[in-house]
Amino acid sequence: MARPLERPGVGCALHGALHSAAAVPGVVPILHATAGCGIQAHRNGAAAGWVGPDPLGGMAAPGSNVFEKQVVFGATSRLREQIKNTVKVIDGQLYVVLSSCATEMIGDDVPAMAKEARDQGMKVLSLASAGFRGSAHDGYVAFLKGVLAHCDLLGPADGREPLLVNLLGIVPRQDAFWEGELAEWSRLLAGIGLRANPLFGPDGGVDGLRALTRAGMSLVFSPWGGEVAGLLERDSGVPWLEAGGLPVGAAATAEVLRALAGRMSLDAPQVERFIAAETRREDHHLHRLAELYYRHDLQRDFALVAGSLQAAGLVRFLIETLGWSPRTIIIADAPPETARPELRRRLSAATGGFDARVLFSEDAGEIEAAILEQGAEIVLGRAVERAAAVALAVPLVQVAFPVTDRLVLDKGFSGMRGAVTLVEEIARAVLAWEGQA
Amino acid sequence: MARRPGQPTRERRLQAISAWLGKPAALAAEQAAGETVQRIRTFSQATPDDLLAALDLLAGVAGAGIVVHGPRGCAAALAAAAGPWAVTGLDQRDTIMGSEGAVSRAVLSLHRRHRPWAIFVVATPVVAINSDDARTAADELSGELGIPVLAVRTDGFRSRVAATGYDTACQALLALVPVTQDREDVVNLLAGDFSTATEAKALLDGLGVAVNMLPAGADAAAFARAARARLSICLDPGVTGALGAGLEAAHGVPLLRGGVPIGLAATRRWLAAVAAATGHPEPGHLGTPDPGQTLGQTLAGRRVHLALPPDAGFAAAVLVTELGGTVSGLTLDHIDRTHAEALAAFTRTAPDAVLHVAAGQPFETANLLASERPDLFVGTPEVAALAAAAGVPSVGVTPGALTGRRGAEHLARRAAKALANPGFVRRLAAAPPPYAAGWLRRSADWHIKQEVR
Repeated sequence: MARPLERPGVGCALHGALHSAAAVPGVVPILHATAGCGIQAHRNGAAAGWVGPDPLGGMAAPGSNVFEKQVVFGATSRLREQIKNTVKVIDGQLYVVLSSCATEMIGDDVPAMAKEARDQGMKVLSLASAGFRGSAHDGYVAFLKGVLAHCDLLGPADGREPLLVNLLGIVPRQDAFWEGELAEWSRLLAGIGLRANPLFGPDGGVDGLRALTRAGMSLVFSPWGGEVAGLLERDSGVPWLEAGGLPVGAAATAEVLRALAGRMSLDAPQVERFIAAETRREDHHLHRLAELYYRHDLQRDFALVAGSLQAAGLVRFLIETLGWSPRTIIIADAPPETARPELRRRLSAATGGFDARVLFSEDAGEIEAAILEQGAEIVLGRAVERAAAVALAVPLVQVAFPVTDRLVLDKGFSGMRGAVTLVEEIARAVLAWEGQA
Repeated sequence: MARRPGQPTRERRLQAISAWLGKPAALAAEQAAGETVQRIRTFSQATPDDLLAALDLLAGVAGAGIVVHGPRGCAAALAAAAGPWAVTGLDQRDTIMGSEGAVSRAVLSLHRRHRPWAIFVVATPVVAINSDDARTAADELSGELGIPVLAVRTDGFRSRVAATGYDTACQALLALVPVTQDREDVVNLLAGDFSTATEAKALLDGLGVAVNMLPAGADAAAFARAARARLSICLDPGVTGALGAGLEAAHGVPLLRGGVPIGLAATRRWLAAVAAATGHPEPGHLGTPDPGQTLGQTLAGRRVHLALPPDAGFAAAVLVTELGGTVSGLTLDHIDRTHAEALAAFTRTAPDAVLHVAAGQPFETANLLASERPDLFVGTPEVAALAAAAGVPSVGVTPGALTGRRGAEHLARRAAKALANPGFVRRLAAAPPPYAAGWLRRSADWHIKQEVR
């Protein structure tokens, strides 16, 4: 049932599927939609730190752009034409047809069109990805499930790669810092002798999709990675580890690395040497922060607005490492009900001893009211929270989508290096707010 | 309740087309004969719709709220918008059972929190297909809240020309203008983009003309003042033309028709026309001759491809010649009969240029640029980025940045920099394009066909 929302920060299922497909080199998305859907996704994606579209995202995404006549009489013949010509115009290893609200409502048989193309030797699959089916996170899940359902299109799978780890639950563009997070976890896994399968971005690709079922482990960072990881375990015997969100900082990251190493029977001394080196590096930077910390009163009461992917890790780092106090914590991406108890448990563990309010809400009005009611000395959130920060006369650090105050290319806030980035961004926001930058 | 007739599409109202590639003379001949043929694409890439155009225009109104009536993705373009907005967030069940009450809940919530002076309820493809009646709810809420709550009947599929959405939005904006017999010595400066209006206002300040800017940045007072103005001047006829025409028809505010102030000669003519229409003396510098002498010939010997909205694109083509350059190609997102005069002039000044009508469609642009090989590309930023990836030194501009003499200087300066050091472009072009080699060998108009009825 319709749930009106003020300024939600999460796009629709079609946008999530499109961003996911476009973020895999070699995959060509084909929108079967009315005009506008692709550009809406493009404009939305641009709020992910000003980054331009992927080569086949944004304006370049192939799309049937169905119009009135096709809405009335059906648009499958237009889709057939679009698929046939997309294969001729754009070189790809896999073509993914994304249905939309309009083309699902008029009853177009999109799977039949995709099958027809496959029967002609084209590597085409279709996804039921209408925007009304859910959020961008659901679109990400639909994309990966669709790929797994048609993994025969990707070519023969070789044997198991025991040291390969699938990184799941980070949604391209919807999670504004996705490239940086995937890069950091690829680096961290390499540090303990593993190889990441990031799927998306410059180090991803169709080979990565093909390798999903051959990995030794899936590492799941958000509730939207769990369903895919479960399928991989059930159908392909790939075990999975729940990271409990993106860990931020040395202590939390080390816990995940140790858990992974334990499950995968890695060489413990090598893992500990790597963790020690990373921890020394973080210690080094925290000591260099100390003077500014005391000069600019960087021990703050904070409000945090972020998605399920980020919230618990950020909260823990801010409390345990920076010595901050939580006032309000808002999970702004509507995680599934089944995922909420575990998220609450993690947040309770991190905030124990503090009188912090935890709220699940996508509604900007409700979020703003909660922040103002509880007060804060700094807000970590989205561009949407600017009004609340202004009302409280405190700095805003944009840590979640939409991010509009900087270009986001390859930075993230997770892991050891992400924690250093977070500290830098906090300091930048505080100094700018104080007019001393 | 009977449905109100929808806003006629640009195709129907102005014989607009959204797909064409060829010599300008051929299209001018079609237009002159009154036989403009609608063409379609057999392969296409993402393109904007009327919903996006309407949102662009309505989001600029200061202090007003927007409720997008549809699934959450239909409001995604507003992600970074400043003003209050909400989305009814329709889900799968609503597409079957209807979404009764969703509009009311969203409007009431937005009103309670932000107290906007007006709220636009913007329709989407889902509610258009379902024939969801948002107008009745909007009318009832207007009475209940005591503010204008206006249904904007966009649908995403009736028109291939996104600009139809500007007309639909302008109909809603006109409803914000109260009827009055009072007159005031002020001129309505109509623009959908605030930077365009700001530049033009600076020009009019020199004439001593008091200006009322709308709809971009306008509040309730500006709309109230609109009907009292002695004249309306439209800076982007393709965007706010329907608002100007509506003010003329409904409130008797004459609309000054003519070109836009892009290019030195055009700016002089525009200022002279405004001065004459308002009874103000022309400023002395309007007589300054020979724009090339005052600006330099930055583009001398250079072939330039332009990609801008139609009115700005035709005007910028003249500006390029004022800077000594030649237009080798002109990409416009649509073209219609209001551009006939500009197209005829373009046919005379650039008969060998390629005219490309496309909103987006970077596959055609990539193909075209590979054969046309211009020295410089001037277009909106997202298109300029694509041209740069194709290896063409590029300048990203909005029409507002080209307005007036400052706009001409801006283009000259940016063009000189882009041509002097194409290092970034070379780096971008080193990566292979996403298009098949076979496509780049084909004619760029391969997928543009006449529509079979």
